[in-house]
Amino acid sequence: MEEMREEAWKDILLGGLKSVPYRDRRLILMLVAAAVAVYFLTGIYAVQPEELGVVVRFGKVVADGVPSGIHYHLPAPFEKVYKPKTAEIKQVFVGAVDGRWPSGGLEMITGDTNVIMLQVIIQYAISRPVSYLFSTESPERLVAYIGEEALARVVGSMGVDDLLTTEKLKAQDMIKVRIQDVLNTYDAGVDVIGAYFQDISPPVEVAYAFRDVASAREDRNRIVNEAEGYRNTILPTTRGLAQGMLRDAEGYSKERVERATGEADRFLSLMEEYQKNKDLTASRIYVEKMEQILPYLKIYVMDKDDGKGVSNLRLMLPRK
Amino acid sequence: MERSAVVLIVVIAIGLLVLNSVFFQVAETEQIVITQFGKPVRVIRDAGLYAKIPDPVQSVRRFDKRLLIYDVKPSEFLTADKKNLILDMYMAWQIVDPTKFLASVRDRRMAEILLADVAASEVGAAVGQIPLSVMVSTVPEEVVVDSVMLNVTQNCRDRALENYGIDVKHVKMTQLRLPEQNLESVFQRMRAERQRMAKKYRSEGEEEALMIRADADKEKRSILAQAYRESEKIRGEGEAEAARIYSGAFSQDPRFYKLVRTLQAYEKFLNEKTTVVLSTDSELLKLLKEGQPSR
Repeated sequence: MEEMREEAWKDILLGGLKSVPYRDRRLILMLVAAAVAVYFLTGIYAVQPEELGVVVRFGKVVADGVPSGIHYHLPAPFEKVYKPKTAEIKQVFVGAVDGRWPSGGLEMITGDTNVIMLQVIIQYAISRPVSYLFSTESPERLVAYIGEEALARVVGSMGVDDLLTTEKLKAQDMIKVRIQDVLNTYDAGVDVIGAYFQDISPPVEVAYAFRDVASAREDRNRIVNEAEGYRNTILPTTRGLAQGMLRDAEGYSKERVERATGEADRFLSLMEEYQKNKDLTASRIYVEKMEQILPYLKIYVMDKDDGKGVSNLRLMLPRK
Repeated sequence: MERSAVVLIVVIAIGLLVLNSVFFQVAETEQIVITQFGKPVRVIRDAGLYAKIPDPVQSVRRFDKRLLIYDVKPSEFLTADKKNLILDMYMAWQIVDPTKFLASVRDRRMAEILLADVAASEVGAAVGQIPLSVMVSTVPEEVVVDSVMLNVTQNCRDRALENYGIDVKHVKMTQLRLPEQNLESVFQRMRAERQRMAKKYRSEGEEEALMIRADADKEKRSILAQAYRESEKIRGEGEAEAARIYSGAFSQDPRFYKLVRTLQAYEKFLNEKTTVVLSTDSELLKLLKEGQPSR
């Protein structure tokens, strides 16, 4: 029964070949065999080191996270392999159209209702290949939209000056955290690595005013520096002057003491002599001094008994 | 020979047709509704290989199972404080009830039109309730966008699930922009703010510089005054010391001191401009008259 059936199949399958000469028949069979072999060989695939393989059989995932190397799957239409690049860092330009930003970047409103232009890049990587491949329509678009939303909220909660200066890094972190939070609710199979401000600037319409603020800040520093320069020159000079005054006073003081000592010593020496013979020394000193002084003076000598006044007797003229 | 070959080909062709009509694949990204003469009879959500009664009795309708993203066209809304805002939104949605979806929506293009209407009406109503100041603010706690959009999402989800078999996961506001005509006034305000800041920086600089200069001048005066005080003190000490030395010496013989000092003073203040009138009685000239020193 079994054999008969087999024979019947053979007849049907080989029936067409019966009229072909034996030699050609062998050739055809070899060709068919070769075609079948080649067909099965198409199931060989290589996974690169940066990839992970995901195999689906009739559309259903049967192998997830196939590591790098040579592998085999049943040929189409039975099985198919996807090889997402899990080690690759992918990036999206937030708000860009075809990978390019409109001039200046994306326009947004800050928390203090200023308008600002932003160019932000979000980097992400595949964390779960199956989710990445099958759970969302386009992880890249999703990241771009979520990124734009996170950017708008974060920018909308901060002042323009903070964004332009000190809080840039904080803003990047906040955006990253927010994106990841939303991504987690979607099972998108990607992890965000970071959000990075490429450029953040005021719109051209107000750019001059912003630059002027920067230069005003410079001006402020310059003016203050100049004043400090003034202080730094005036104070040392003054301190020098003060030291000079002190030295001068010390000199004066010293001089007074030295002179006093000298004069005292002189007086004491003379006094010693004087005390040996008071009258004589006194007279001598007196006369000597008069002798010294009087030649320079105009002197009128007046006889007291005359009563008539001045005798107008000029004894000596001043020496010329 | 020809007959058996034809038979073979026909058998294979019919076999493939039947196979194709009976067996079908469902991919991980799809969900399937099988209709029998147009009426849905079976829903398949899991991927794999399935069989059904061949066409035209049963046929397969495929729907996306993935999370879909719809970029809602930017449109203008009025806030509670009568400010025009252009809002960009996106919706993340998923077909969760393909039978209902098939009956009421049919395809994605139609779904997006319907979702846009739902979102626009919900967002319009929500935004109309809140002023611009709570959509953007430097005080993060004040910003209500998240809770508002959560509410919008909830309402959209309820409506879409009920009517279209669609689960709206998120309605999110991305950009919010001011219309062209309002932008100019914002720019004017920004410029004015900047000018004020620039002015403030410059005058702050002036203020600080003046203070530094004044401080420096003050310090200069104080240093000089201290030095003066110190030097006067030193001088005084010197003078006191000198006086002490003088009096120490002179007090030993005040009469002699008076003599010496007086004579010293004469030498200083008597000069060629001085005229003295001397009496012949004077000590010095007595001899001039008397000829002989008195005994």
